[in-house]
Amino acid sequence: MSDEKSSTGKVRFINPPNTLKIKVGTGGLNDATIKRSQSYINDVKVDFAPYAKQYLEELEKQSALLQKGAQNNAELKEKIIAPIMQLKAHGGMFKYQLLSDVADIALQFLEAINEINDDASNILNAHKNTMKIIVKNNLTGNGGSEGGKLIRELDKACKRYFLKHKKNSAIPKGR
Amino acid sequence: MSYTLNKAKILIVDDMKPMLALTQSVLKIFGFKNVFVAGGGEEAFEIVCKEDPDIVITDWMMSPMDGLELASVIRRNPAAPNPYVPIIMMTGFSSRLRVENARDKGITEFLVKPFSSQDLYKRVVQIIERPRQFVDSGTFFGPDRRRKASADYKGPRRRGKEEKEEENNTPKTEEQKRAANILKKLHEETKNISN
Repeated sequence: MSDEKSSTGKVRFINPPNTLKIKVGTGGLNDATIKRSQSYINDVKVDFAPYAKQYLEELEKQSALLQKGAQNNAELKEKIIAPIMQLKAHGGMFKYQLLSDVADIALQFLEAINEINDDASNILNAHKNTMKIIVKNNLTGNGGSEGGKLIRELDKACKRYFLKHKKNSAIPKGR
Repeated sequence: MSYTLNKAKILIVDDMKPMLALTQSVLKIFGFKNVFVAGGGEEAFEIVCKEDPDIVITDWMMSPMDGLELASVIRRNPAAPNPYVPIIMMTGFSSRLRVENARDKGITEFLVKPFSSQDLYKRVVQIIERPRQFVDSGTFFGPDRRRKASADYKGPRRRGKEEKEEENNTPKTEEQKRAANILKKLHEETKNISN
């Protein structure tokens, strides 16, 4: 292990031995192995709908607190974001790509705003209702051309929001 | 010649069982033989202490100990056998602030869900071929965050690849037509939001 001190003497840079490289050697994996593993992902037999319903129930529960006038704070926003992130993350892993794409837009939208005001709440509800309909009707896959149009329309709705509410952005300037 | 992954030990941590099983299977297809699994952070840390894995792949949102807390305890707890073990965070989060937060807790690589097997493979290769040096500043101990300027990397969007294909996809079966009608209706309803 090689250590060195920075010019200030306060920061240590450490290069641990690469024992993993010693164990696995060189050469990577061949394309056939990667393709086989992707086929496994594509063909995996998991019914995601029951999980999606649980995440949607959690989303419903948390977003209902907004309607009841609960304190609109960062903690509540995180609780609303959590099930949306799960839908985005796992929908696409288990054949619900359109669900994942809708959740992704909602997630990026919520991550980009400071607070969930009435207009933001309308956008959140639109995404939530869309996701519920996708799950209820077992709309697996990416939805084809109609799915693409829907995604672009949801994206446009978020853009319209930011034009209207320029100050409600959680993204620091320069990012 | 290709990697001989059968000697390497890898630990996957995720509280969603199908995701845990899926990742385990993909890694076994890659050639890993010693694949350990845990459904949460606490169980994972026990395995870390007992098995001393070469790579840890962890989900972020778990309870009671989440992926970030697991990373912190691996990096700082004296009971951990290897504080330098590469940790891949696999999560649905992809915003720059989240990625930076994860890096601050000692995460080595970020893998955004949903991911392809190629995405996972690339992270493993990155860890093997381009390991990060470690920084100990007193307030921070973890992999050097400056190796590459891709903190806002969001991973390839599958839809991006499929967009051209999707445009030519006219619904053929009754099931596809039913789905298209539902989505068309939703599309129309969405036009009025935020006006």
